[in-house]
Amino acid sequence: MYRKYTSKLGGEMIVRTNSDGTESWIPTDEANSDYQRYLCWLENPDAELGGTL
Amino acid sequence: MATGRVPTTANSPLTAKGDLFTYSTTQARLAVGNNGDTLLADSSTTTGLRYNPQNALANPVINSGFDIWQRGTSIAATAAYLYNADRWLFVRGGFATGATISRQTTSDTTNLPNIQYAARVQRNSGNTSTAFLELSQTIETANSLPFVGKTVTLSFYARKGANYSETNSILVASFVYGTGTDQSVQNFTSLTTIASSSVGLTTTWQRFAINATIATAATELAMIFSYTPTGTAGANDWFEITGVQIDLGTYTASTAPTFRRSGGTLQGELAACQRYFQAVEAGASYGPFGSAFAFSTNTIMFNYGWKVKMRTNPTVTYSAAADFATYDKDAAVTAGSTIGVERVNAEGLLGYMTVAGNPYAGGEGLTVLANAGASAKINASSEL
Repeated sequence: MYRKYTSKLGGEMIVRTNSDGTESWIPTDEANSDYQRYLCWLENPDAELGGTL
Repeated sequence: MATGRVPTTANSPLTAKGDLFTYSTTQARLAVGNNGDTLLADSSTTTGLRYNPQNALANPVINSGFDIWQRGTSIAATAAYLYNADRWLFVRGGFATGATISRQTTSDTTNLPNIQYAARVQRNSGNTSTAFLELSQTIETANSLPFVGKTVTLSFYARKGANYSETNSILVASFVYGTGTDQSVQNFTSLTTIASSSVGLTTTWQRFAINATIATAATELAMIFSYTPTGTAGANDWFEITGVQIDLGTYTASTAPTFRRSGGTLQGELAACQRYFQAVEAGASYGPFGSAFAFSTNTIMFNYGWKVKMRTNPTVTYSAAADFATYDKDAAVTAGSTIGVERVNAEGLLGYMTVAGNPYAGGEGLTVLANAGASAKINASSEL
């Protein structure tokens, strides 16, 4: 579902594999709602059901 | 001049500073409004006039006329919260599917003037799920705060399809607030209903108005339109909605101000939408995205500046890597193998792409474009 990517410039991106096979690259920015959902998922993986597309 | 047509101390109804001498069926006094109010023609009042708070704020409902559909003009429900028309979020109870949200022309210049498009929220024909269908828009905090503590009117146009299956042809319109910052309505802190109204739909467009006073605790606003279907869906089990608008002051459906886009012009509305979402498409085969350089013999770096500054650092989603290609100094087109993001912020993207083999000279200048026959696409989302 999620993996981390370390940029050549330093810092991390969160990569989410979507149900259609595409990947979404999520910046580690707490104002980004996908990153907020990732943090929720870390606490409770079931919380991902119903994420925003 | 005829006797009685000039007010005198004896026959004048005026009694206080700012009073206006008006007329209903007889001479009448209209007391001055509050500081900053404007005088409004309103045939529902005794004198045909009333004071109203100055309605100087832009409509905070973005894409309220459903002009902009960057994700496509017909979207099938999935087991998730689903953006469809820009800024509008759809969900079905229990994340049921079997529904479609699509752009429709209003096709009515009498009951619904000046609005070209509407959103149709439809239960698919033959669907047996009776889970509710809900369309909502959340207004970010910065655009919500100007309305806090004010009396407002939420107005919209709606109609139903011939097979609309809600038992009493009701559409529930809810106006809600939260106390967090820049949350989506499904995640609002202390979600509170400001006003809710069950409006009766017909197959003809009608305008509806809901009056409400927004609590001073509110920091984020949202409106939700929903219905609960019954039985098995016929071919036209849907409602359509458009012209969603929030105005300062109290209006009825017949006196609410003429519909206006949040962004003014169509281009302004598109830019307002792109603060939250941008779909970047190269168009036909070999349509260009931008310039790149060879980072190594099989990896390129490319950049792209967003069309408008986004709300926050966006999530980037590419179509398949093979949809993208490079065009090099030898006029060779090389398809992508993998594609990703090195850096992204509200201003733009630094991406990378790898290709098969080792076709590049280090530092070589390149162009990134759509591969042959492909519709390469980059989506950037800063939605709430």
